[in-house]
Amino acid sequence: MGVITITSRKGGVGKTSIAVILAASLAEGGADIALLDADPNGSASRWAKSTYAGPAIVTHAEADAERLAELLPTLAARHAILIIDTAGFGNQAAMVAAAGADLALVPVTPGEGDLVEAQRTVAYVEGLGRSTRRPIPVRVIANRIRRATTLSRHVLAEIDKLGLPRLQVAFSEAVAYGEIGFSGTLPRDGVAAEEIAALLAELRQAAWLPADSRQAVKA
Amino acid sequence: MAPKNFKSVEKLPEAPVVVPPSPPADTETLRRVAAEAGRSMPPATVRQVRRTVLVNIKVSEGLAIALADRAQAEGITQKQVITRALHALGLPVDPLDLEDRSPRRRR
Repeated sequence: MGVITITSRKGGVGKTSIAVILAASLAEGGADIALLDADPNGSASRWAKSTYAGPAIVTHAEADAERLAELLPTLAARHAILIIDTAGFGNQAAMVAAAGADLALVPVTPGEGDLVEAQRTVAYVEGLGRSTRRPIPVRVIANRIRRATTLSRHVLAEIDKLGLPRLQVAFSEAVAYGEIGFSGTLPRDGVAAEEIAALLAELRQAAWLPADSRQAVKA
Repeated sequence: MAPKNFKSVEKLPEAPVVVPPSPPADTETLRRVAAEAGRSMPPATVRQVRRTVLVNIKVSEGLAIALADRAQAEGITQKQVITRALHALGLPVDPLDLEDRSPRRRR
């Protein structure tokens, strides 16, 4: 239970960063978590296996849609939480990952193209939910926001005006996020640490993360 | 109105998403999504070109019948029976050779 798919048809919006941040922060909290990398470039799984320095994360890389269709339910049944990273373009594996999600997170960075693609991604995920008769909650998460700038305020206002459901938490354009990719560790203090904690709290409050994610749900 | 004369992004018309109705998400549901809903999309992976060759071996009729019976009993192809056995012996079997890759019309 608890499948969170990070998806967007647009590349470079921070899908992999958010996926590894979620996976690492949950693992540090003792959660029974698996990370499934459905992006052919394998950045998330490479990070988890080579760079990440925290408690072990069960990591799988599978970008083939048919094999993903088998692996996703299996991992979802085995682990309390499954985080899935997807490719930055519309592909079959990303669709499978979205169709199997209990929550789809769509990162958006300040850009006109991001907003357009976010609309398309949200519509697609909602459509998948309708077609599979399994509603899939989808939330936009603003990323690389520069606080107190006109641009960021405008983008957040646009997200709301377009009716895109978004998380209250937004990630700043903080260097600490980029450092995670090289250090393999999460920030302990500062804005980034506060935002990561706020993300987990918001997901827990909405019951998208199990209250007790330490116990595995064995199939 | 947004300051600095920023323009607003146009709200996209809601287009119907053409995907087949399915039961709750399980492997079969997800397979259908992969097989039918994503036909217009590029594949996630580009597999390396794999050179294949034909191996034609002559065996006794009894073994051929036993092979066919085993494949039928397990619901797999005769090739899979052989490749799985070779894999179990430790030979470097390509994962694709372990799958049923026969055309759907023959299944």
